[in-house]
Amino acid sequence: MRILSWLSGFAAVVFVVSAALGQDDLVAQGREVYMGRCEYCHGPGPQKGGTMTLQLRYQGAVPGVLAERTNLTPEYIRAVVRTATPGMTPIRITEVSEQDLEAVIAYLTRYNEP
Amino acid sequence: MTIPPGLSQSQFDDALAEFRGVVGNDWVFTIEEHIEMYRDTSSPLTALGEQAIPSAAVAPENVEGVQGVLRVCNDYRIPIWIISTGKNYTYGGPDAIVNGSVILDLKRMNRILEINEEQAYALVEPGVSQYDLWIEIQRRGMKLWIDGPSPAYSSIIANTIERGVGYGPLGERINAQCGMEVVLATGEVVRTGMGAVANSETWQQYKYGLGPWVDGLFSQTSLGVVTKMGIWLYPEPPAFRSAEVYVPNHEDIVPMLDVLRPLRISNVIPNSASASTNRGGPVEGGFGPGGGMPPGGMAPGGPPPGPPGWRCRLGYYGYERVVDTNWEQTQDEFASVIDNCQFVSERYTAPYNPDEMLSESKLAAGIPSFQEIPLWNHGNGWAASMVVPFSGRKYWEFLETIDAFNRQFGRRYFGGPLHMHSPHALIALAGVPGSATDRDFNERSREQIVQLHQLARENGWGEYRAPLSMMSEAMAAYDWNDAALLRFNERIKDALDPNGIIAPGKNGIWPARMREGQA
Ligand SMILES: Cc1cc2nc3c(=O)[nH]c(=O)nc-3n(C[C@H](O)[C@H](O)[C@H](O)COP(=O)(O)OP(=O)(O)OC[C@H]3O[C@@H](n4cnc5c(N)ncnc54)[C@H](O)[C@@H]3O)c2cc1C
Ligand code: HEC
Repeated sequence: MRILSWLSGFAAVVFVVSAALGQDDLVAQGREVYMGRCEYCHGPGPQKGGTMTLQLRYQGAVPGVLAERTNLTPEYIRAVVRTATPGMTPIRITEVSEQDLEAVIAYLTRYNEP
Repeated sequence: MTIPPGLSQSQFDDALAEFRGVVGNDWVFTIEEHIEMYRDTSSPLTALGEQAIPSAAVAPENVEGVQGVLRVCNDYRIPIWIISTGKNYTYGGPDAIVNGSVILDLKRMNRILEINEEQAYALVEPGVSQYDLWIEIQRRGMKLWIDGPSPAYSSIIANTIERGVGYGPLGERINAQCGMEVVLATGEVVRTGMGAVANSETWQQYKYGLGPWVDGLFSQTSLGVVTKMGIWLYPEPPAFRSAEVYVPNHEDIVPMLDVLRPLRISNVIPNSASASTNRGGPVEGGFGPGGGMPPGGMAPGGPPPGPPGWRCRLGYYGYERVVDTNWEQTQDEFASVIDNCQFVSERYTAPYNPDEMLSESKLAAGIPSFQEIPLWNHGNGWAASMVVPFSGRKYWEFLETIDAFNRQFGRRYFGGPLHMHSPHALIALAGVPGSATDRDFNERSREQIVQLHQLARENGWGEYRAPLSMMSEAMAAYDWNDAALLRFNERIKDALDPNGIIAPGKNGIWPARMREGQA
């Protein structure tokens, strides 16, 4: 089925990249949560509202795809997820638990300079 | 900290302790940072200082938890407001009507209990989103399509029982509902339809069971908490055609609707078709996707620049020859009565690749889309979605009436969007802009929307679904025989929810203890 190969194709790419970097369990868990709760707005490809908005905002200065960023701080990610911004309504603890948010933060900051 | 009406702080503290006993410490939210997440970010009431603030949010994990929460609410007479995923933006988000309500957040009840490929249905809990179900179907490789609204993170149950709108062949969402489990306000659990037959294997196959068909009581409801629901799915069709028809002149909406009506009613156009002005929204600057509402007002001058005219979006499903024939026939019907129509269409065949589909096509194929969410710009305005006869002439009268009315407020109206999910009627939207911060502006706009409701009532246009801040005004249109229907609803409300705890004021229906003083 083509939908399936399309989905798993994308997952495989991300997995290879992060595996090469020796990710820990938290990052792997974070990727899971991200794929289920963030990717549909922030993933690559057309028609992703978050990516479209961020591409317009940054004009190529940083990647439009959130998962490719290297300059997001844990505090900033937490604040954007839990409070209202112009493009994102708050994502509640019942949707992404505190522990899941920690994992997403680990995933989104995995390429950051130490 | 806000507390529920009529309770002392110490009583409320006791109630909170009991809630914690039911759902656990982690799932009772009271601190401001958490309460803020349960507030509608696009409410016109915020700038007016009238937005209800919850006293707490409570999130049970299962039916027993829901029963426990309701027991505490009954004991303390605490009003609760139910949310499944709480994304009801533009209709009120997660907001309650009564200040100090407790939000019953069902997002943790997010199990997909069954997906049956052969019988084409799923049984889900309230926290399951459109996206959750769609991705699970893909993961299992099942040849099934879902249908639903464009915000794909929203709840299948909530959107369906609110009688929401999808864009595919099952777009009239409430028609795809089959069988419910409901926790009544008093705590008893009821299963509807064939679910009431203990050994039945047809709960999700046959809706009606025996005797009065009560499922409707639990749609747009304040009578119970829906904890499980069956939803019919669509077998993946061999071919799918997504199409748009453009007509060049504003007046062409009249023949356009008259062409669409018989095609929709006879199911030649099987999807939940929609139409809008080519300029995108009902007002200049856009009311919805494509632009928020300018706080300065709508369309102060004449029509905005850009092409005039209208477009409608259609979908065809089935065998290749059938979708082609029906589309050709549709084009012939249009071309025979409207000059210079433009037809745009794309045919897809199984297996489908969402990545290669236009976003308009995706919606008509039930593939969750998030494209328009950030473009919405959280308008903080008001909208009324009215049921209007499916007739070109009648809709033209609607347009002219609303436009003449809006002019009194220095605003214009150009029409759309129109929903044709229910094939014998039009759902036509009229909006009034709002501001997130400007109180005076929202006072003026509220005056306009309240008067617009009176105008609608005089013209016999009731709303199909009301935004939180205008629920009583919307119900006021349902006034036949001295509002006999409202009184009937109030009697049911009092009988099933004697303490008046569930969603007081929802759709203008108040429990007895809060009716005094209500209009
Ligand atoms: C950009 C944009 C596009 C939109 N497009 C569409 C669209 O195409 N079609 C459409 O229909 N809507 C649309 N909406 C409106 C809305 O977002 C959706 O209808 C959404 O499904 C509602 O949110 P939800 O499912 O999270 O419901 P919730 O917020 O969880 O619930 C909505 C209401 O249903 C009741 N309720 C919820 N759960 C239960 C339960 N278990 N038992 C009893 N009562 C319950 C409550 O009264 C609650 O207030 C759109 C909104 C936006 C911002
Ligand atoms: C409904 C669509 C949607 C979902 C779901 C969503 N986002 Fe966003 N997000 C956006 C949009 C649109 C923006 C850009 C506009 C803004 O900042 O409000 C954004 C911005 C952000 C930013 C700020 C980036 C910057 O450079 O300022 C972060 C961080 C972020 N999102 C994280 C997340 C995480 C983590 C999740 C999942 C837990 C998530 N988002 C889910 C739509 C979404």
